[in-house]
Amino acid sequence: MIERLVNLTWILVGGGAAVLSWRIGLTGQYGPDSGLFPFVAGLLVCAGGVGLMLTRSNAVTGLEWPDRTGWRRIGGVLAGLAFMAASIPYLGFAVAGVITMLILLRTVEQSSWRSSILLAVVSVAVTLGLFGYLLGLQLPRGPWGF
Amino acid sequence: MEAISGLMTGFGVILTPSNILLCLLGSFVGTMIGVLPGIGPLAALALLLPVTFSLPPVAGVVMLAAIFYGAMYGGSTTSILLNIPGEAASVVTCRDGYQMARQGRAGAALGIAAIGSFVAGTLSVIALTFFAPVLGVIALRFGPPENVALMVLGLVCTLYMITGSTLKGLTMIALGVLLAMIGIDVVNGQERFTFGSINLTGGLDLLAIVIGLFGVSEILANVEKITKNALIAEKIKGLFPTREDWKASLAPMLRGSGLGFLLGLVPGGGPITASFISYAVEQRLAKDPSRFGKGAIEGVAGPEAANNAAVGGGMIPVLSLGIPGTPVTALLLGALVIQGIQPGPLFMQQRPDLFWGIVASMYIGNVFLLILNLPLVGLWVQLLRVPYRVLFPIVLMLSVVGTYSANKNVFDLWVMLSFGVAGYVLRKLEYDLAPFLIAFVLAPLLEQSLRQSLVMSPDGIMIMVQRPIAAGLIAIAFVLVALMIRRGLKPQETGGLINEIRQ
Amino acid sequence: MKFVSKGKFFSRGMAFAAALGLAAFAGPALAQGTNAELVKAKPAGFPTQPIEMTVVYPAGGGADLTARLLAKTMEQLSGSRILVNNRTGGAGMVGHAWLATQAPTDGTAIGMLVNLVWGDSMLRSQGRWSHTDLEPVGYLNSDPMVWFVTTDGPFKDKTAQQVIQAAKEKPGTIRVATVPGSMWDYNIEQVEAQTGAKFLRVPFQSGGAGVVGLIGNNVDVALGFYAEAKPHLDAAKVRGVGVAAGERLAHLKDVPTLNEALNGKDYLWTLVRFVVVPKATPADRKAYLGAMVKAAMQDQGLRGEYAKLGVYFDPTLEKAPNITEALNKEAEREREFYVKTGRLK
Repeated sequence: MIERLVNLTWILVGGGAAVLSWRIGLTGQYGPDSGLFPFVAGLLVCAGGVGLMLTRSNAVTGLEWPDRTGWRRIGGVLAGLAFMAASIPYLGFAVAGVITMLILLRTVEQSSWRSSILLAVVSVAVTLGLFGYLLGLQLPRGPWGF
Repeated sequence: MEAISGLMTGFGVILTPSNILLCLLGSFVGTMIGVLPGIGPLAALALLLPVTFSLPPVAGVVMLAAIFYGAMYGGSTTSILLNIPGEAASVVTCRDGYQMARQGRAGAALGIAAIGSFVAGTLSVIALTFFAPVLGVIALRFGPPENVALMVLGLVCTLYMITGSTLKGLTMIALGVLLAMIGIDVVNGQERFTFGSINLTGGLDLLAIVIGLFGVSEILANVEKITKNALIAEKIKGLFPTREDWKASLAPMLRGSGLGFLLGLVPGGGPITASFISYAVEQRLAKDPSRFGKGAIEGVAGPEAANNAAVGGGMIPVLSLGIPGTPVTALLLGALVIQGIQPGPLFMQQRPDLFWGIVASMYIGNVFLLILNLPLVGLWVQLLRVPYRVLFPIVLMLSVVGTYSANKNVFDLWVMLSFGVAGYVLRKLEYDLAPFLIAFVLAPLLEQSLRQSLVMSPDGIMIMVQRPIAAGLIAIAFVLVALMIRRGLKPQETGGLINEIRQ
Repeated sequence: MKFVSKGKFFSRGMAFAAALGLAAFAGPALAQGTNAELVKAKPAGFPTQPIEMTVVYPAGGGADLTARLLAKTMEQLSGSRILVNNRTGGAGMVGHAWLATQAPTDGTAIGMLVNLVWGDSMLRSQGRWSHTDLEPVGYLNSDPMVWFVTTDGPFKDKTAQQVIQAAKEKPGTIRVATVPGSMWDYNIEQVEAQTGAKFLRVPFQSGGAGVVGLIGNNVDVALGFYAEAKPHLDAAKVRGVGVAAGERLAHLKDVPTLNEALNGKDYLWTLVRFVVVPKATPADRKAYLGAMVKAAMQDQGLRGEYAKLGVYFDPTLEKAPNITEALNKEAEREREFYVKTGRLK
């Protein structure tokens, strides 16, 4: 099922890209224009999708997707990362980092609150100290100045 | 002879106790920073650069060389231990390095990577010592048509290393080319597939893709099923390469050094291309190619030597002409200029002390890398004993910092996340992701050079066969494709393209 | 005060080394002490966090060098910590947009920009951001476009006039390296329009890449900046035939200006480097940051470093009583060119 969806994605993405590049223009005064390379690549991706859809030998056999706990853990990691990316500009690296670590530690391994908070605070502090102070990397700051 | 006396002067300039300590410090810190996932040599150098500014020129250069070699080597550590590449040039190292670690041979893999880096680094510095002015000219012979030919050859080589379904591999190559087209077209400034987003005008960031596709997806695949704490620590066998390992790795190391060095000399080459091509070559030459991807030590030794030698080779156009070919060498050049050192054709004659000082510091940097890192192998292997539930959040956090530090753009984190999800699904479906990456790297240069060539050429595409170097490279690419098709036509062998299309 | 500021930059290096137990061997820092007036001029309530100087091009390039040298001097003179941050991507677009729309406006964000930002804003920003959201507070230096040929190629002993004559006689055969959609292109276009010559323009991603193409004999003429060709000029591999500036350059005395060579008056294409702050930054903090740049630019050490990179200091911009107005006027001049050539409506 998912395999077919992925193949369909190739067909749609490749086809769509080919149409868009066609509009950009394929050839110019000296041969290829901006559209040619993406047009060809798009067609090939699309053709790959069609080929994978039609052949059986390329499909994965014995594909195993995770069980419910597995999905919960994966969901936890993705939610943590998405939260981090979304909140860094508003909360700053330090706070976003600590909250993300808590999400990761609590959803994936369900560690105790105490050890989660300890690990989250310590690792974010070490990262900030190393990159922010010693290496002078400007990590985004929140409204509270860190 | 002149080179040897020059080199002696160079050693005389840099061999002071404080310089040696700085070298040690640089190589240690460089390794430490380079080891962090998501932070390869480029990021490590950019981060540590300001530290060297406060030093006098010679000391600054010595420390820079040490940081650089340290970071270069450090990048492969997480590839081997965690299957998370520190940078694009160590993506291939994951293939066999991580498999070796799973078989309990992480120590051997790390050791061979360190020794391979040392051998390649030293050989390329020796070549630099004696042939810098002569070899610098090669860089100039590589104009747009030669770059086209080289990129085509690089893509053909990746065809050889596709594992699993060939059709899936080809789709990945096409997708890599397609996604590389996002952003502003350098040939005429036209925006492609940006959909009005400023963040997309710069294209997708290579580092964010590498961390997402290989790092985040690896973590997703691991958290899905962790039940035990320790990953693979139970069965660590010996820390150092065995006699058989040595025998198996020596030739790949030397080949990787030569190949990497030559590719480093030319502008379109660079460490990423070198590591991929070296892997393809080793796989092709191996008596039993099926061992590759299952923990073949040659698959670590070759590419690791190649990516280090490529940077050594890349220093030749920098020092003899002042022309950087890759972002890393551009950064090194910038660092030298800030120190008041302007490399160029006259550099060697005008400032022999500094020229030879730099060369000597590269020798020293390499030696320190080895002295420092062989004992550290034991320490790194212990990393595998850290429970994964503690390790993975920290790795993710460092990946976020590393990805962010490259462009200081939060958008890159979203790119990393999306490619993490995509990588996870595609891995499950047994797609080979390495071809995607190399296509993504080579495509923009291929396109730009091809279009430049066609503008330059009065006879259109014929320019590709009118210039001897370009024609030679294209001919090699044709032979490789022909061999592949022949292999594919034989029904008893699998993996060939034609074979699969027929089915 | 003095002691603290003197050690600021160095202390980081020390902490770094001390962390590894090697403090004694870190080299000496070249601090020269703070400028007392500047320290006094610091507005009350100025944030204590480091000031972030954004560079929109990658580390190691010309813009990056300019910024790092400036940041180092400003740090020494003011005692405030200043960090250079490379926000790269989209040929500068990503960094420009960030500065104009997202950068903090509390005085901790400044940008070291070149005048390419104007074309970026007028032609390519599609209304997503504008250079008018950024206010120039200090002028650094200028770098005029130079036309280069090789010393062993077809134009080894030719003048700019002769090069252009050749492009007129055999239109579309003389290969010139250009950077599309930028000053390089405009300069060539202007020459073509006013002389009737016709070049074959080969696109490169930067002036430096074009100069490499020239040495490799892939083009016949390359346009670039002095620093990009300096090692090859020193080695007599390339020579300049014309400078797109009002007067000859001190370090290229025998290269005529394009105006001299072609009998024109508006062949003026110069890279101008300057410092901006987001417009919404409070006025006193803008003034302080401006004073910081000014003080740094009076520092002989910094001027010497810049001179080594082959730039020149435009006296009209250096002496301008109000640098914001002076640079905005330059931007307007550029807008007129775009309108005149039909690029902008």
